[in-house]
Amino acid sequence: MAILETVNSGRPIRRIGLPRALLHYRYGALWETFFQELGYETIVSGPTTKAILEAGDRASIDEACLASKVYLGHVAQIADEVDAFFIPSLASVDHRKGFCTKFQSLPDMVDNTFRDQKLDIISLSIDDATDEKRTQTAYLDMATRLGALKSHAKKAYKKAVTAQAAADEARAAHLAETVSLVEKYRKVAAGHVQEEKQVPPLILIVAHPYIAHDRYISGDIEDAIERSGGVIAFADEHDHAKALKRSYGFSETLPWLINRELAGATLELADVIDGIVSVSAFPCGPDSLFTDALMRRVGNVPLLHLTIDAQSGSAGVQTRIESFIDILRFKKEGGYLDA
Amino acid sequence: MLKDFRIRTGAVIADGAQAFRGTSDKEQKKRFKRDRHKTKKVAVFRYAYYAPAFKYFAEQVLDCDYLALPQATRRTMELGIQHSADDVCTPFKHMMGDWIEALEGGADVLVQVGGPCRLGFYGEMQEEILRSLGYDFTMLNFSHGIEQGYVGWAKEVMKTVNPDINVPHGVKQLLACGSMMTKLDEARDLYMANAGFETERGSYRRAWEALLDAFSLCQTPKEIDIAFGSFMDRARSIKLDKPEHPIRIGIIGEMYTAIDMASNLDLDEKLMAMGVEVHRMLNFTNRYTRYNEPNLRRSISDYVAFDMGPTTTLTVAAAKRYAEEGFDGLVHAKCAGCTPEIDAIPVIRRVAEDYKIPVLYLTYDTETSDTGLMTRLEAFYDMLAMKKEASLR
Amino acid sequence: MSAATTAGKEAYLGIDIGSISTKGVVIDEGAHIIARSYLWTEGDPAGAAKRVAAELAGQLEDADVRIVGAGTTGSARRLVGAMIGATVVKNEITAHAVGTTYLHPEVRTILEIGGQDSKIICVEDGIATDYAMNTLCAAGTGSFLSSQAARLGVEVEEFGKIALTSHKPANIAARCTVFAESDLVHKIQVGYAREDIIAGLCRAVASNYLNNVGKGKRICAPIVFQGGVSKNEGVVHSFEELLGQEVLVDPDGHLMGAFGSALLALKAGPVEAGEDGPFATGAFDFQAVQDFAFKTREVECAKCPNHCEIICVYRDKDIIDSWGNRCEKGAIKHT
Repeated sequence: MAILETVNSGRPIRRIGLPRALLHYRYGALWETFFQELGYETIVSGPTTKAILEAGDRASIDEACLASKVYLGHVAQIADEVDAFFIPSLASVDHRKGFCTKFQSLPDMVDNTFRDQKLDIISLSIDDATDEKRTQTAYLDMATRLGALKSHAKKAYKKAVTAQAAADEARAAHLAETVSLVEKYRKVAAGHVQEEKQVPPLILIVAHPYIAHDRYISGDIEDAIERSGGVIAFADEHDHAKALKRSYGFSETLPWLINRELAGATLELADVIDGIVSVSAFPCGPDSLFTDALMRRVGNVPLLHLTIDAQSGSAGVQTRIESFIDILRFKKEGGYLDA
Repeated sequence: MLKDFRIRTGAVIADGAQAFRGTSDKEQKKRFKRDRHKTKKVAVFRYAYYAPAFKYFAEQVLDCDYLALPQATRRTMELGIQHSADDVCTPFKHMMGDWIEALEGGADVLVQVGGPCRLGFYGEMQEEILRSLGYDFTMLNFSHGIEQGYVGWAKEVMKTVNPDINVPHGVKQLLACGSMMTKLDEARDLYMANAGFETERGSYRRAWEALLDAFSLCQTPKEIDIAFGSFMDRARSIKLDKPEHPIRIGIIGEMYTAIDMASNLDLDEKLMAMGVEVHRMLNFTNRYTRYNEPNLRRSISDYVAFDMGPTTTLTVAAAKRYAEEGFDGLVHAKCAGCTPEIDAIPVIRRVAEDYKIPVLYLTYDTETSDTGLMTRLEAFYDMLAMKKEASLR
Repeated sequence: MSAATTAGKEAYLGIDIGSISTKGVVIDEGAHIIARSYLWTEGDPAGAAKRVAAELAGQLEDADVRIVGAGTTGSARRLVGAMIGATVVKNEITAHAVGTTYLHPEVRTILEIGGQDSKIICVEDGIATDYAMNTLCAAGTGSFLSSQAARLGVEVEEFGKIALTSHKPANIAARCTVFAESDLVHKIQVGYAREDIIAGLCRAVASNYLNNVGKGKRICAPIVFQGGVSKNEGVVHSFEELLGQEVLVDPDGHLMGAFGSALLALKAGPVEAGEDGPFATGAFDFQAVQDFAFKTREVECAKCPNHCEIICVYRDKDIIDSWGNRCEKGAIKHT
């Protein structure tokens, strides 16, 4: 068993590997700061590349989702450089704020996939990610297992939480700034037909953070939106607590925290955005239902859904985005002939 | 006269009970008991062999009428496909077909059990899709009330289906319903282990079908016990011609597809027909009534540290147990896109490697064909049989 | 050749009727192949079986043998099995394993790519211990290569030779037929050399196979590669490169299914003389197969809402077999 419940590895652990994939896009600041404060060197894999995806594809079960394959690719990428990986297990005790089971199975899945390489994996189990107290306990227990003093661990965790909060705030601020810039532009242009046409459409990308911010996966989509003159806002950058609260107006029984945050953010921003581009990794379990819900429930905002898999090239993306943004423009202008 | 009361709605029944003043207490009580009953037609989705227990739940726990669904057909599947998102997991589609047929059959209440993973969101989406198709119904969705557990669910039942339920009586009948499901699992286990070796073909099937019929008529825990007892007597008397070393296969996998015969195209029956002793640890009993995940996980601590998903611990634990007990092979069955079972595969592979046990991986979607499945199963059987023959030589 | 007498050495017939090609062999009691046939199914399995039978009969004209048993395999095994009165009707995975392990007792891994199927069989001590088949998609199989060959204006038989002349195989995404085609079109437009594209396709077929069908399987030597695509040297070469091991291709590799089913028939022993059909005299009558008219008809059972499609096989006017019914209600009586 390579997953460390206690410090039982033969080799000393100095360098901890953090694959730049899946929830690293959400909790990366927390993880990096925590381990650094505890005195470890953290090694984060580089941005996703073709080689990483191919390595992940080779290691994965064919049917696994793209995001999962990318994760395994990142593990393979830095396996030789690190003494151990940090891979937490996030369970779904709260039926309304859980995760895709992928995040629960991840440490064991990685361990069994790479069993021949005998990876050391440091892990912890968080059964409710929104319960701050229990989450803290899980991290402190893990630090203690690794040999840290409790007081030291507490300090490290505090810094880690602060770092994560700062990162989250920066993203939320970025989103707010984007939105306010477009709104300002709209205000200035209001009443002037020619200027109004110049206002770029504000496009909300609704996607899990590890899809939205992995350039290799969705970079083509962002570029296409910008080339077509759109301005991008990311739903996942919205203030998480506010979005979560708002999401209960979207659905009572939606089981996944991240989808809730995306839904809540979409509702919060529905009045200021011109269109939604939702992006899923194929085949995404939660999104297979969530996208349908989104289409049904955010009915008054035009929506384009794109599914990305390991094989699809970027060929179709540009055309689809372009025509979508054309539709938004024509819609605003009230028809083709005015264009 | 009583009949008149039964077709009235809840609001009027209190008045009805009042009208009986003057009759004896006992009679009044009895009448009030009848009045608790609602004539709403309750339907539950089709799932494996549990229909008699669903009927018991509707009639004895919810105290409503039960709408039995006929066997699923190709049309069921087509309806399901038509009204579901493309890439949603297959059970969602099966259930959509079930709901539409239930509503066409006059159902007033649809019971969605909810549960882990995507199942927790099935109910809300299915209700929305059905409403957009114009159907009028009540959905009893156990994804609501889940925060408060049993209390929450009881409130949900009273709020949406029947406010007049006698709660202590309902709880007693719910336990009886659970016991019926456990007995169904027990009977099925016996059936799967032996039906491949009966000397008179169809004996087990007839006994099993008689049990389902008998269970469908049960109204009390005692009747359940009697029906089960007579099945066991009958099953014990079936003559078997079992070789000393029969081929034994364990079915593992995802909770819906690995058990439900309409989804897995009669996987267990097909194996039995080839003369296989079939085992399937995965069932309602082992996943719910007797489920102790931490204990079960201890048995596979060489492979996993955490609970990996809804049925993953059970899947891996069953795989390992069958391997240890010298089974000839494993069949892993899941629906397309089932994340937790996809993530279980790397672990199953390790178990299979360590114990040298062959595994047939089956992924079912709505396009899976009977002939394709048969080819794979036959080949798997041949392989196991030849291996066995060589090892016994 | 004496078809309907008791004279002559005993021999066994095996036919493998696939979706693309139909293969037949006759083996003697010592399991040596004494006649072989390979032709296109052309969407008519019954006709193809007749043509195979005629070809085999021609090859055996001067041989003093009588065929006392027959086996069928492949996707139309049941239909042709009913037609020729086969003693053994087996699925193609088993038939291939049986055939190959007989010829190569030491084999550990069998790679097979046919017209629409691909499979891998792992063998230990002469017995299959694990296998896998491709899922729904036909990408990387024989029919996929044929259609790409047509697109490139090359005979698929030439593919292998052309591929071996390439020094810089193009990188082609062949995971899915649709993507592969668009990728191919793109590469042609961009002006890649034809041999590089063809070599790239061969390589994609091999790597796609290893990533899909072969995933998670231990591929140990000796490795035998068979099925129609094994005739393509380009794919063989790619397998050897990717696996870093020698890959054996048997000259009769494409016949292994037919050979395996003949072996299974040999194991089952001579048929008992039937009342009618090609084995009515106890020995297979090649002429009778040609003379009988075989017809299949699909009937939709109306006895329940399942509407099972039942396939009925007729020999002249008699119904000799039927299948497809999911319950007893749809069972049809045979003569």
